[in-house]
Amino acid sequence: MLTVYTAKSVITMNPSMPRATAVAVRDGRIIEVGTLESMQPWLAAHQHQIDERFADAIITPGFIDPHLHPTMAAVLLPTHFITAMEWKLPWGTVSPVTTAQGFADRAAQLHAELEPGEPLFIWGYHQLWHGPMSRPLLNEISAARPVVVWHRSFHELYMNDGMLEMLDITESEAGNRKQIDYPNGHFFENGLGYAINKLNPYILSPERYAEGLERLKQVVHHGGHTTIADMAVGLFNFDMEWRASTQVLEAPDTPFRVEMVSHAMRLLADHASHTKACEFVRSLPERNTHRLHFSDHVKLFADGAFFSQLAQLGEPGYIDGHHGEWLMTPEQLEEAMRVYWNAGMKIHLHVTGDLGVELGLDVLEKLQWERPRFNHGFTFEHFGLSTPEQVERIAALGANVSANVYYLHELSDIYAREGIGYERASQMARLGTCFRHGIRTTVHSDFTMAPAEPLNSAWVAVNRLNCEGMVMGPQECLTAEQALAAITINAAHIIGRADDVGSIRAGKLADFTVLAEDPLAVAPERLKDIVILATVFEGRPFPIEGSSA
Amino acid sequence: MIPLTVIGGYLGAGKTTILNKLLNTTENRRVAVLVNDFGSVNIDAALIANQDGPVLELTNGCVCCSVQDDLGAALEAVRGMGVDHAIIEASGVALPAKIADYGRTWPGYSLSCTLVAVDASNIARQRKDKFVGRLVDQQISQGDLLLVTKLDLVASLYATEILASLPEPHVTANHGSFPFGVFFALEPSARAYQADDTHPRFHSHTMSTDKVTTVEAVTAILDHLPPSVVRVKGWFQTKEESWLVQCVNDRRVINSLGNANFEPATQLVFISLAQQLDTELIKGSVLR
Repeated sequence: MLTVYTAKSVITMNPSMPRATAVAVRDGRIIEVGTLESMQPWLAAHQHQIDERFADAIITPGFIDPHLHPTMAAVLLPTHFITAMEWKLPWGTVSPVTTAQGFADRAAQLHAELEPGEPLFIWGYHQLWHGPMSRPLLNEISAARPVVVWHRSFHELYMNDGMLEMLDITESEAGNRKQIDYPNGHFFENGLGYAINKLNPYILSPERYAEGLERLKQVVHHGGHTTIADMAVGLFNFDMEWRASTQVLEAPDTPFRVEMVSHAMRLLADHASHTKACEFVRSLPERNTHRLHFSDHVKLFADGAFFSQLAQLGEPGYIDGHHGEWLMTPEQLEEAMRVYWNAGMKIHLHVTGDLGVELGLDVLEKLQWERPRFNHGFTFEHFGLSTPEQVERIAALGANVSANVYYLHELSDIYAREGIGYERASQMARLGTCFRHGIRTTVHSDFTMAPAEPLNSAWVAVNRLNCEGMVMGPQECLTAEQALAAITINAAHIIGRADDVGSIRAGKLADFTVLAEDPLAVAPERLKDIVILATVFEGRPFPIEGSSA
Repeated sequence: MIPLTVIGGYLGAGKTTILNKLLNTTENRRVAVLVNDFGSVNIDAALIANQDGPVLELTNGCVCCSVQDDLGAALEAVRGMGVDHAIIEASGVALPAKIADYGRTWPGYSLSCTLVAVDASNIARQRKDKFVGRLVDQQISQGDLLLVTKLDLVASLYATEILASLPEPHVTANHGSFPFGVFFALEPSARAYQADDTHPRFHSHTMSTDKVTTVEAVTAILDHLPPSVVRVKGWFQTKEESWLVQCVNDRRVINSLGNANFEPATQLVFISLAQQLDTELIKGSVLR
């Protein structure tokens, strides 16, 4: 049986036939794209039904986030959010709380709603809005119920009496230690490591982790995705993550597939050498299920976190003179890259600062000299800061770019003032230059680092508005077409699935995102506000609740 | 509290070689070594008494624990094992001071000292490297004591230059051998007087004079140095010739330099765990 979906317009992202009004689907694959008239030979030959539920809507290829972390999401999403910014979550929008009293009231309300004795995990506290935090303040809400308040940055947390008792953290053990303020229940830097170690049995318990993955499923669906890539399988524990993914994500109600990219450095710990780890990566596709898919991609790391100002910068560095960090030595990175390069694998390299990009380029150039490859799929991931000269080298070496463009929105204002100065801050995510050089370029959320909303990423890439509403680096703005390519066909190429997804043409999987408005026609500043009515995953519609589909 | 020593330094600086040697030479001391991965540690299979996940128990009572990106978990695993001392091998990209903070933060541990290994044959290049130059400089600046390795791979004239370029105090540790005492030198009780951890735990004392002396007088001084002195280096002049002195704990080398002339004629540098060393008394003895 064929099903034909009609639409006001189908944006195919196939340059040979950019627009259509009907798509015929059979057994999860696209049979024909065009108009009801043009597809008559198929319709005459086969039993079919015309499905007009999207007749007034716009169909685009299913959105793809080529880099997020289900593991991080699974830990964060079961917590209760009390945040200064609004968070749109599938189970409800979190209203902003911007005062100390507001925080205390909301926490007290959560306390009142929970079963007695159940631990309360809160995320999103920030002193700029919520004032000082301390164990005595939390004890006022409840001293008996275990309570943790996690900072917005993840870099510090507070516990009340109940939580200290539950985790058996005593004054004789943790009092008078550096980076632990025991009287205030405050844990930071290495002290945070100690607290997390104690919390791990709870936050990584199979039940809680599964609940977090269930929530991630909703988040991914609401963002309009039909494909995501887990860009560091094994971040916490390879076997645990794989098991949980097969149980929660490989389910009939999951409207997306996951491209699984292994964290090569974690594998090294279990496999003695990169050569052995590489053999293991090669064996992984044997365990593929319908939705969970390993292939020949692997993840490596260069420099530190962009949000923590640990990106490695070339001259002139940070305003305050501090330095970024390397996540492994350049020698170790080169050794790992050489093994995977020579094995024909596609390497995704985490780079945040321009010196990180420089290192990736130097090694890639060396490997291209030693053993030239075409279509090698080498991808610079995150791409916070770069130089125009580096973009030329990326193009010359045939590499791709996958950028967290949200850095520009959230951080360019503060980094201009307190990090690196206006010039470089305004040129974060140098995407216009990438497109001008013909580099295969995509954008990602790195969720939980940015909202898992491809239309939001596209909105930042097109408008380059920072959180203060200022346009940063207008020469680097993308067109709406480029941004839509970034979240569909380019993402598909970069995760190695372009033959199956990323555009709407005969032969590909029938993955669509259904929008209330045309993203190539709306005013650019409204891109992120387009209502997502539904997704279609392998031919099967999945309406998005609350979107009035 | 378990005293904690950190050994840092860039990739290839010789940290693992030093720890391998150390594991084979600890006497009556149960040491836990927290390493980045077992693969690099060369432990004789006959020495392994028991393996439980990331923890290897050795027949001499020592413990080797693989960190695998979770130093906290390793510290917790080692904490209940009744060891006398713990040593963390920092990764090649780590800032030793940051790792040393675990000795001040993690319950059950106290910081002993921070050692940083330096590869003499590569350090000049590394410090100029565009990617890691600043990192290596930072690492060097954060050691209470530098362990200079592979100096034998460097031409002798150049060796002096390299040593001069490194901040004091430093000792040489060729082929992994050096005074292992420094790993354990600073038990918490022994350094109770040091309220502030930010001071380097090793102190350099220089004695110099333009007068000549005798080999016997210098030897007598070296024989009677207080145990807090871990290293002596320098030169002295007798009536006939000049001599080079290199002492590392109980190892001592005194070589003739022929009729080379130095300015001043005699200069000895003592690296000591103690803040005080009576160099005037030493000078008096040398000139007796």
